[in-house]
Amino acid sequence: MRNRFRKFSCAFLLLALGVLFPLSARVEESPAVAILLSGKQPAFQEVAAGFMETAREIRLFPFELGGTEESRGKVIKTLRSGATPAAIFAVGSQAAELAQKDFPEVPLVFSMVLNPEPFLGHPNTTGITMKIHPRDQLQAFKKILPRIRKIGVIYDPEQNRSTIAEAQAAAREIGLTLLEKRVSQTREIANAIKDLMYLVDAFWIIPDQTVISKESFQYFLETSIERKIPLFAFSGILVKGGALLALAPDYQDMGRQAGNLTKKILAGKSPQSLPPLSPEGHLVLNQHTAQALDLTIPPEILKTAEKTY
Amino acid sequence: MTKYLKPFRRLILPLLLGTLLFPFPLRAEEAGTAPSGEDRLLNLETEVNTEEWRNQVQEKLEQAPLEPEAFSVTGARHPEKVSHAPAAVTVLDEEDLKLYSVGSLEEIFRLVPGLEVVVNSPSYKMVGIRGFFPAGVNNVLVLVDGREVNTNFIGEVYWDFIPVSLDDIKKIEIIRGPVSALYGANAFAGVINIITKEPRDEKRAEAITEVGGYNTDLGTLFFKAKGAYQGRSWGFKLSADRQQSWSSSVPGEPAAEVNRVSLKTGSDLPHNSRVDVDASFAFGDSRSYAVIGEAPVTDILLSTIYLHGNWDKLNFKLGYYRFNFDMGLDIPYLPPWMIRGLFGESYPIPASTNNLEGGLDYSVYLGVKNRLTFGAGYLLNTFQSSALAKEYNQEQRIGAYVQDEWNFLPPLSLFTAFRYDYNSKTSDDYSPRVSLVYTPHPRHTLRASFARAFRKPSFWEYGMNLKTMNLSSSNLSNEHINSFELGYNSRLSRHLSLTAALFYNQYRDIVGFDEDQIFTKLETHSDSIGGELALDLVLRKNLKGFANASYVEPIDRSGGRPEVHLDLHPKYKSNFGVSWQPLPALSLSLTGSLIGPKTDRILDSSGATQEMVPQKLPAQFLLGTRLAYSFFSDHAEVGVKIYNLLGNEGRQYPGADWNYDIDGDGQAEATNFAGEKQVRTITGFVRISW
Repeated sequence: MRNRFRKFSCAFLLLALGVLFPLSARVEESPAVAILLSGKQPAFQEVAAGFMETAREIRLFPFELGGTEESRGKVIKTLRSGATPAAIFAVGSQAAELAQKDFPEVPLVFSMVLNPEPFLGHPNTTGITMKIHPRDQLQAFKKILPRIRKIGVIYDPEQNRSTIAEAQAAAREIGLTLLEKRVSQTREIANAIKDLMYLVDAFWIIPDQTVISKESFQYFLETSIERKIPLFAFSGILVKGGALLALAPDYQDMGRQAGNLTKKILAGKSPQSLPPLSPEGHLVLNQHTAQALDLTIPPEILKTAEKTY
Repeated sequence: MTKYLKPFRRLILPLLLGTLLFPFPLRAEEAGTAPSGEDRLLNLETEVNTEEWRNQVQEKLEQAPLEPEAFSVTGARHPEKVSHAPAAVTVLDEEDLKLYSVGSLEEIFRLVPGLEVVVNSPSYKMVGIRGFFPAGVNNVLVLVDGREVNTNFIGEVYWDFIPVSLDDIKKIEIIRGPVSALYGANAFAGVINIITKEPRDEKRAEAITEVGGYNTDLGTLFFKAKGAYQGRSWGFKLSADRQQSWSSSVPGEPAAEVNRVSLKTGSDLPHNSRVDVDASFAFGDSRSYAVIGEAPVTDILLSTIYLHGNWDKLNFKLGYYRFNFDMGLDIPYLPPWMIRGLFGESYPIPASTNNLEGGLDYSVYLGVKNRLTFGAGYLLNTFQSSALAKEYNQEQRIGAYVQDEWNFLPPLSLFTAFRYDYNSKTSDDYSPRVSLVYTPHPRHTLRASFARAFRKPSFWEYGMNLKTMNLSSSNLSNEHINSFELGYNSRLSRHLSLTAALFYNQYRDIVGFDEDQIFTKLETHSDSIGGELALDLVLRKNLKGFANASYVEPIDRSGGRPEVHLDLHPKYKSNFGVSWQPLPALSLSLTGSLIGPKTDRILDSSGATQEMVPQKLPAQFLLGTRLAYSFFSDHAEVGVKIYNLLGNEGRQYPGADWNYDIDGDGQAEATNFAGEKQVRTITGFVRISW
């Protein structure tokens, strides 16, 4: 806990320095990496902290995009006024979008981008996706609860068509049946849950822009409790908030992975030769939920959990 | 100015209603600027990462019921919680069937409120709902995986020849009350839908043996073997069983012999779809009385092939079955000398029915407040026998229905259904149903329903004209029922739930025997009023119980015989059951049924004249118990089931101890016309699986 606090403090300090002394004001040395943060969210700070921890030897220049066009313009102006950075580490899709659009010649490493597909076609771009490979998640679900056969998932095909195709293929390999419902609007979710709730042994909530909201998570959770079927999530905080378990990414880990990727680029590798990486999954379990659903998690599984609530 | 505004006053009410039904907040979300994906994700994490949220979730987890509420696909033709279904529904799941199955498949229905079972002989069992008993008529629709198994010849169900046994069943859904609005003909008193296990629900291989005794000299023998394979998406199961039953009415040989072989294969398909093909054969003899019209039947062969499944929300089915049998010479209410006069020496009479059935159902949401379910079905039924005046008979049924579930205000749902049926032999019919479900609190649900349904007279009633004599009327029309019902479901606590229903039924256009013993439309009307009350208790995961009671009272409306539809059905009935698993491997259950007195009329042909005489059967108490022990990690189980523990010797069906010469050789082959005495049944069983 104390370590984490130190890392956050360090990240905050660096960010503050970045805002006070922009790139142009620094002594010009190379190579230098610009860190662009889409916002002030603590998760972005955690990723930045992880990145900084890995890339200690690299000169880092953090910037935070404000919500306005003016503040974005300011960041662009500052970046253009100094030496061109050797790479940009973008945290969040707004930062990645700015980097790719306004600095296409600069190698881009993105992170915390929920839907990275629009950025991936660019030869100068690579990064760390937010999604743990569906196969790894499904394998973990099956290992922890071997009786699960049918898993229900709700998604927007505009957002997650390829993820679900991968998940379907993985489910077939593992011996699971993935029952899917497509939605295009948030208000369709309640009926999609109703359609699936009597057909499946578990629900799997994935990071889908259309699906995720407080209301839909609450409905998933209530249905899970009412039907006594597990709810698998994609984030440790959602597990803390009542889901049974998740194979979740660790934000600092994602930062570290991005740092290592950036170091390879700085060493001369082209971003095109470095395919985007999935974050490593950490098992997070909620034992209160397991107890309420009459599920017994084997002790050997509990031992492997990164965190239990 | 006001005169220009006047016409717009008419818009006020629709606008107000529109605002109520389509609230603006739902639209506002679409109109606003959408945040980026990770923003939404991180916002969600922020919103749920609070003490307040966690406390709310903790409270919900602590209040969660010990067992999830059952759901039914039969009441609304799509899955609904039992408390939210538009009809009175009881669901028996796999565990209920295992723990409370002290007798046969049919006998477990006795434990359901509003249902009564009569076991007349080893080969003749009937299940009645809310006073309506299927004695010779088809007023309870029985489905296996959605396929109708009532034999259209006489409408009854030959339970022994259904190609499933208790261990094949995943769950049974029972609708008490009319549902012709969704199922058409004969969903009159109710519907029993048996849903079987998929290959993936089965163990790889299993062998089951049951040996039972009726007191000391009579008994049953049951042997079953089955194997299953489940690949990634495709699987199959093959099962075969043989059942033999002995009875004092047929000395020297088994009273009933049934052999069943079934193959079930199915595959998951993309887009949440699945297709199954089932093929089954059941063959044997029923030498004891009354499998068909109380007649002994031999050389039975029932073959079925059934394709069913779904393509996402489109359900489809196509089934064919053929039923061949040799009918003996006994016909209800006709004495042997008369039957010999009718048939000469040509009996047993070979006969066969063919049944082709198809159907489609589709369910779709219209917006977020309406769910529309609609479908159509077709059935071709033929019956042929050399004993008939017209040797080949054909009947066609076509029906289409539509149902809307309208959640017009969050606590209120309105189910409206309508079905039209064409029938080539009797009359066309329409069946509406309206059901308003009100959930003022998540734990309490109230329901008010009206339903109209019809029973189509069976071939036995409208077409059984023999070469030598007419027994049926070709101009019969359908029987009707109007049913008004109030229902209440409550989850009183985590441990206790309560279900109650009150009904008032109007029974119209009744078909029955006239003075000449020919089926005709009677002039009598009859109503009935009644109710059911059921409590389910889950004290701990290993200690559960239930208790229920039901009552039905006939009301005379026309000076006729008011109890016309309550023959064999007691006015009151109550049941209880307790199951306890003191150890994971040991299970013990106890069930009891108190069945009120009942009356039926039988033909007394012992004198010179034929006369229908009432016979009263006294109240009975049937106690059953089951004790089972499993070992080798649940790969083996041994146990014992005792039914009628107290040795009640009463009859479940009226009868008389007459010596009965079936084939005229001067020797009595049977001693009972119908209705064998009950005996205590002790059955031991062994199950091995791997």
